[in-house]
Amino acid sequence: MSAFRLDAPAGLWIERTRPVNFTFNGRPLSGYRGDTLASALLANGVRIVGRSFKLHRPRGILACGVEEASGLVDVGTGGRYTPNVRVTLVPLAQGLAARSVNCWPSVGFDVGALSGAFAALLPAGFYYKTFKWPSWGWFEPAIRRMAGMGRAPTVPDADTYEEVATRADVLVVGGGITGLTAAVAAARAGAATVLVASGARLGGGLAWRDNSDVRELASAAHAAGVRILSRTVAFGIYDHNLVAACETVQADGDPGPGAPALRERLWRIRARAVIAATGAFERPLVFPDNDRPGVMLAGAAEKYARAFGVACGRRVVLAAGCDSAYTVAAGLRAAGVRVEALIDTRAASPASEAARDLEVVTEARIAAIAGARGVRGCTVQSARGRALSIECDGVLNTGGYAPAVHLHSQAGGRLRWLEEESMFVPDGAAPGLTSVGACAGAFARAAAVSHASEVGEALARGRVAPPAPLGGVGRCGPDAQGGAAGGARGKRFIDLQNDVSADDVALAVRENYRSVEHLKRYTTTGMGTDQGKTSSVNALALLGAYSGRSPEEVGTTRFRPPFVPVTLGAVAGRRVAALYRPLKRLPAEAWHVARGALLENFGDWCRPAAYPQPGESLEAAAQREARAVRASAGLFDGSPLGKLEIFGPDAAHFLDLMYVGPMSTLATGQARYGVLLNENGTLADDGIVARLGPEHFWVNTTSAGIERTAAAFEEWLQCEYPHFRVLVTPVTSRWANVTVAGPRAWEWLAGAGFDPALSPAATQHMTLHDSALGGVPLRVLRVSFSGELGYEVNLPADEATGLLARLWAQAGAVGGVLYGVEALQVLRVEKGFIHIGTDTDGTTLPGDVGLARGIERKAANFVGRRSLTRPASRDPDRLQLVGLTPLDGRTVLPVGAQIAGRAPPATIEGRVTSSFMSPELGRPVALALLARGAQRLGEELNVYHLRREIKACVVRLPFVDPQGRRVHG
Amino acid sequence: MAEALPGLEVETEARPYAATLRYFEADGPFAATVAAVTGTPLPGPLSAVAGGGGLLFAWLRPTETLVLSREAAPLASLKERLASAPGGHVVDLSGALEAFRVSGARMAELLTRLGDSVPPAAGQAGRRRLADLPVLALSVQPQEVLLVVDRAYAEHLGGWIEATLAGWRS
Repeated sequence: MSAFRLDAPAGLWIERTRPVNFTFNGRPLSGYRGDTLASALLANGVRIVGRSFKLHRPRGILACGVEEASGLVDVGTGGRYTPNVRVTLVPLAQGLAARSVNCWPSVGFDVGALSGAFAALLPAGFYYKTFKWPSWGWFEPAIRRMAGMGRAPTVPDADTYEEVATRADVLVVGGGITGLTAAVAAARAGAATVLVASGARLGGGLAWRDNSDVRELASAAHAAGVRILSRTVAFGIYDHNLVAACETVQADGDPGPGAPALRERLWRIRARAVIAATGAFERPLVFPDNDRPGVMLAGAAEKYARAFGVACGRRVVLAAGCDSAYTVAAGLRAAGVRVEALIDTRAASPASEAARDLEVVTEARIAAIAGARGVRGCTVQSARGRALSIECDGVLNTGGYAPAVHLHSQAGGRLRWLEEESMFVPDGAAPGLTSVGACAGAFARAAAVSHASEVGEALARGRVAPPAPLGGVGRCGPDAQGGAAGGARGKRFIDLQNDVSADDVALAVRENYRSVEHLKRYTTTGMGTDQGKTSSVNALALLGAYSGRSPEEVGTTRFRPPFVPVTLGAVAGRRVAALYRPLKRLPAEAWHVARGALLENFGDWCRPAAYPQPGESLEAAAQREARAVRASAGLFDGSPLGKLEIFGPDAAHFLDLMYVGPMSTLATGQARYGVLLNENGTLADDGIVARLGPEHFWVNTTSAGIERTAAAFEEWLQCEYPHFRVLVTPVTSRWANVTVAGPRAWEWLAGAGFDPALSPAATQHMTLHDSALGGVPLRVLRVSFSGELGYEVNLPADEATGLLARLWAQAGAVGGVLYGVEALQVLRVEKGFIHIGTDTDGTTLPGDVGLARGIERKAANFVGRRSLTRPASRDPDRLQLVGLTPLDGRTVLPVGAQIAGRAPPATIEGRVTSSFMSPELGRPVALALLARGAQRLGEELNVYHLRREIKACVVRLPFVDPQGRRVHG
Repeated sequence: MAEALPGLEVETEARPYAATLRYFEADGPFAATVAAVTGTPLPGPLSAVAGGGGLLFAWLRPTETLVLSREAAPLASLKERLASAPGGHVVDLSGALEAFRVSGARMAELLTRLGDSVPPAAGQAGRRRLADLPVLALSVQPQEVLLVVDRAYAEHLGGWIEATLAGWRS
């Protein structure tokens, strides 16, 4: 192909006085402001843009918009690098650097093209049939390396992205003439109307024809108050008419070093009604070697000429199966392009009347393309058997149109086949979405515009929209896919992005893949970023032709979002770095940080994992802290502990229903450990319940379990027990929790001025006491998760820092330390205390972890009780909690390690759930879930981790203080 | 946090004194006592109302109303007078919440960047998902909204707001 720049007035969109320099594969080139990368490459005579996915065939530019299937490049450098971008969508920018994908060492000489020699061995689904011997593992690494296109970025994105939410009464997707018309009508009818247009210019297919109707409509839209979002692509429609759209904000390529720029904006638009006016794609003809550089869509060639002033060849042949080719031919000739012939697959068309001075060959098709790296000519075969060779440098083709029904399909709309026009169109409106214009199958402009206006007004007023006036495109050749018969030399591609040919479809049919869904997955046609924009109808038609069915009988697959690729940056928006995900912060975080806390994420709370001293590792710090708690005392921030207040005359009864153990028997000031089950009887959460008054309870949940526990309580109250008079109020952030644990805990508290009435002698384990210190109200719980004497001091969150500082000032007197979550884990494992979600999973029943005591005696029902009576719940082979110690006395068993009779693959008998070196015992300790664990005390087991075998022994829990005396001080 | 741009002002309210009124019936004896004590009936669904003594009432759900105050005394007084009111109770949430006051002509624009497609009008209150967080947005006067968030999440919401404003400044 010898593309070249046309003289003005061709090139409506470019500014010839503003040259733009860029590079392609390191080669310096230039274009004009207003060019796309595609138009600039064409204008510079670049033929081969990249290599194809599977066969590494040279590929050029096929189209002029989002439907570009093969012109993919990597764009930018460093932090402003984006892989696999369509050349048709990249605005040319000063300094832009683009590189071809899927080729090595260069796009001109690609070693991967050798795969073409083995093309016969690489049909559809070859990877399902080959590489099985001697082992898939031998081939997998090489195949994995070959898979995919482009290169992933290696450095963080330098730019920023944001997300915007908005609402509309009517959302119009598409800025063409029907979209504008619908938007104006909706806005004039009083609807808050938003219009999203993918291009920078309104008008769609008329924008590059300098159409006055478009200018008037655009003015009318502004006057009517239509909110227009240009350079914004609606890529998905989701439940309840939520439309996601991506706006390109910074489109000037690589702006160079400097402050981050806002590159893209993700719109989340909730609309009462959506109007799709997304137009139609040109459908390529299927003929041998139809992927050669220089074979392009005819409409795209006309757009390049008119909008960008680029002729896609000096001597072109037009191959067509529809009337629009005649209009294109006239346009190209007017722009200075020599059209050698128009090859019409149909019999004579009335449209040919307008092209009397053009050589038209009817009932003919392209039989061959000359030139492997670019079109040098073509051979035309007529129905009467006459062969005609034509020298040319471009073959432009069009087989009709495929309405862009992606949003309609995503919204759940059905499609139907129009035989005359050879296209699928919406079968009425989709839920919440109505199509107008070409995407609805309405191609006659006047009728389509009138319909769009009626739809806009109807939807604005909440009325039912009228049906679309189908037709207007004329008769399209029924044989755009080139016929079912094979025999011609050269691959006939239907999906240029995925290298799927007509032969692949034929093979799939021979192997009885008759469903279009199976065809898609077996051949990969319509997959990837292309989503079948140019390939879908041809693939369906071929499947039908090969299997003796009409396209309507074959049906279509459901189009899936996104309609176009969306960058991860746009999806992430602000959710990067510190805003990656919401983390909860402790009231006294600054105080902990000032004391060397190493903060980590535990259950979405940013908490001190430990307080390492200089040069001390996290593990060593946790060991030191845990040892100090056992020896003297430790200070711990337990503020994340979930807290609920349960109030009402039925509160006690309600808690009896929620917990395995009875709570109604608690006296005021008493506390009890409780376990929550779900309906299946599996452990959902645990914690302490204390009674504040006759109708008032204090409930602690796990730190990560507060939201689900509160939600479960509400669900039971609202759905199952609406007659209960119970109020559940989360108060986690109201109350900080400062825990002092260890044999000298009370000594520490007393030194800080706590009420002597809280001493171990005056209080009992598992009791709650209202107290005060310096005027600050306290709720003090005598409970312990370490096995040591423990005080959980709950106080207003704003007072947490003050109390921590007050206590810390007294630490030296008792040898007290700060301890973090890691040390707490060590302490609780030494005591054999489970942590829900760590030592349990979605199948663990209370009896599996030794918490079934009292169930039989409890008179009241409770959630999950019935499930505990199922045979599976009483299976003696269930996984049960046990203690493990390594036989060598020094190897810390890896968490997640498997327990089995022999090295895996083998029957897995259990797994290690928690494991630490015990500073108290000087040897490792672990918790594990083990089949029939309770019956296997003393048994020696094999524990496997990464092919390493560790001998361990099942031991009784707890490891430390089996009599439980320490909690009493 | 105190940020100002043309048409927009964002400031962190010192952690407001707060309590939640929990009751079994919105038209029951507890609600009647609240009305008698404050002179202000409980706000209706999705509503916010400024009561006497600097108290701000925001409807949360059919059985809950949030009360905010800049001063401790009015809330303490309310708690005391409702202590024995039948049909409900008061739960002190002072220190549990953080509030961001957003005002100015660009208030709505900022809220859409946080994820709110319909910012509350004056007199409205409702929970939103802003910056991926549950946030109560309430407004008692035009072009001003109070974003009330659990204190544990305040840093995240503030960070999102700052990032948005930084983008606008650049």
